[in-house]
Amino acid sequence: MQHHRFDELITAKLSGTLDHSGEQELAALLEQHPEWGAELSVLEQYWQQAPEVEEPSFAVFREMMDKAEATPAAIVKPMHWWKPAAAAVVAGLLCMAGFHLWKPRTQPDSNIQLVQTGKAERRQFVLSDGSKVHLNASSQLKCHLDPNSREIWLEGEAYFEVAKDVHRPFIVHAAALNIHALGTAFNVKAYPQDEQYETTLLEGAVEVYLNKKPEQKVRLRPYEKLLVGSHTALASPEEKLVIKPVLSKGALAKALALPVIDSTLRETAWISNRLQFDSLSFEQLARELERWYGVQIEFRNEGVKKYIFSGSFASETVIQALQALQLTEDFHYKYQGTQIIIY
Amino acid sequence: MPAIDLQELWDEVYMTDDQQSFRKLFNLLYGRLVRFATDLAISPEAAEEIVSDVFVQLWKNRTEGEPILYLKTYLYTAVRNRCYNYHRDHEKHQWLELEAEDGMAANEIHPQLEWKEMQQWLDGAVASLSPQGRTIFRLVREEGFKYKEVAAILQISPRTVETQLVRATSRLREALRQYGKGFDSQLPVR
Repeated sequence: MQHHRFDELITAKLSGTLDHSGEQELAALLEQHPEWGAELSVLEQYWQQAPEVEEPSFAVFREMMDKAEATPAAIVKPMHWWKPAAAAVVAGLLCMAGFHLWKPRTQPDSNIQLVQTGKAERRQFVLSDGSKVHLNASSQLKCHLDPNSREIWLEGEAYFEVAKDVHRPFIVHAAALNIHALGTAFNVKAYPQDEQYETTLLEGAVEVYLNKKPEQKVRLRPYEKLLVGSHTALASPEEKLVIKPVLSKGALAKALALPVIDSTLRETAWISNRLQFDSLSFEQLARELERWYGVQIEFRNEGVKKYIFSGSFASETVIQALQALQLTEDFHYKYQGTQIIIY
Repeated sequence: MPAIDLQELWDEVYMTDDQQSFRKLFNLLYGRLVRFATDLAISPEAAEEIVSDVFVQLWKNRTEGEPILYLKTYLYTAVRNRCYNYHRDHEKHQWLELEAEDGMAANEIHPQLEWKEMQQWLDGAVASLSPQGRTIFRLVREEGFKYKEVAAILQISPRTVETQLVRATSRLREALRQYGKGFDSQLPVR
C-alpha cells in the first residue's frame, strides 16, 4: 500500500504537481524507507533527460510548404433553381407594391428610409413615428412614413413594436404577406430562400392578407403565428393560411403587459441574441446558421440533412455550435474560413 | 522547449507571414508530433503524412478564424484527431488495451551499471507500457504538458492521465529493482 502511495507521490513530484502537504508526506515516507530515496533520485534524473528529437530535413519542410502554398481548387457553389425564382417573385412584389411610392434617385424622398443588414448582423432602430424595429441578419427594410400612412417593405426577418397611431395604419409588406397593425408588437420572417413565411403576434392585433386575396383577411390574436408556404403563396389563390398558437412561458403573464420582447419565445429569441430552434431539420437549421454566423454550409451527405434538432445558441461560435450538435447526432464537418462542409 | 517560444514564433507566422519562423516551428515540432502519432498506433509513414497535413492546414489557415492561443496543445489535438479519423477510416482499434505484463526478461540484467545503460533499461520499461500509458507519460515528461492539457488532447479524463502516470512510475520502479542489487551502491552522482 505504501508502495502505491509512494508511486503517486513521486509521480506528482516528477510532473511538478506535488503540493506542500504532499512534499511532507513524501519526506515522511522516505524517512521510513530510506532505500526508496535512491529510486527517486534515479527517476528524477531519468525524467529530466528527455530524449532529443531529430530535426526533419529541409526536403520534408519543402514538400509540406509546396502543398500549403498550392492554390486551392475553386469552390463552385451550385445555385438552387428556386432561389433566383423566389427572389424574383419578391422583387416583383416589391416593385408593384411600391410603384407609386418610389421616386427616381434624382428626386430623393426624405420620407423613405432604407436599412440593410449583412450576414451575422443584427440591428435595431427607432422609426420617426416612434416604432421600434429589430432587423435580423441578411435582411432589408424600406420604410415610407408620411402624415397619412406608415408602410414598410421587408425582405428577411424583423420584429416590430408599433407606436400607437389610430389614424395611420402600420402596414408591413413581406413577400406574399401583408400585415396591418395598429399599436402592436409582432415578428415577421420572410426570407426569400425559406420554404415558409411567417408572422407572429405578441401584443395587440394585426390583420394579415395575401397579395392574391386581399379581401380575405385573417386576424391574429396574441401568441398566434401565421404560416404561409413560400412556393405556393403567390401561385394559388386557394392557399390555406395556417395559424398556430406559439408556446410561451410568459403568455399569460404578458396579457396585460406592455409590449416587451418575450425572451422565452422561439420566434423572437433572435432579438435577445439567441438563435433558438425547435424540431428543425439539419438542412433548415443550416440556413439559420448561415444567416446567424455569416457562413456557407454545404452538405455532402444526404442522410445528415434529415437530422432533427432543437436547441438554442447564444454566445457560441459556429464551431462550438456544430460541436454541440455533434453530441446529439453523428456527423462530421470541416471548415476553411467561412466555408463549412458537413458530411 | 518552452511553450512561450513556440507562441512567439507562431505570432511571427500569422502576423507577418514569416516563413522562416514557420520553418523553425516545423523543425521543433515535426519529430515530436510524428512520434506522438506513432504512439497512437499509426505507422511511421502515415504519421509523417498526418503531421505534414496538420502543418499544411496551419499555414493555409494562419490568418483565418480565431487566433490560436495555445499552439502546442492545438497541434497535438489536431494530430490526435487526425489519427483517430485515420483509425476510423481504416477500421482499426485505437488502443491496444493490454499492457505487456512482463516488461523485462529476467536474464537481461546488465552487469554494468552505467547511467546510459540504466537509461536504456528505463526506456525499455516505458516502451513496455500500454500504448495509452506510454503516450501519456511522454506527453507529460517530454512535452511538458499539464494533466489537464493531456486530458484535453487525448479526450480522456484528467483522472485517467494521473492513473496512467502513476502506473508508469510503478513500472519504472519495478524496472529499477530488477536492475539488480548493485544499483544501490552505484547511483549516478547528482
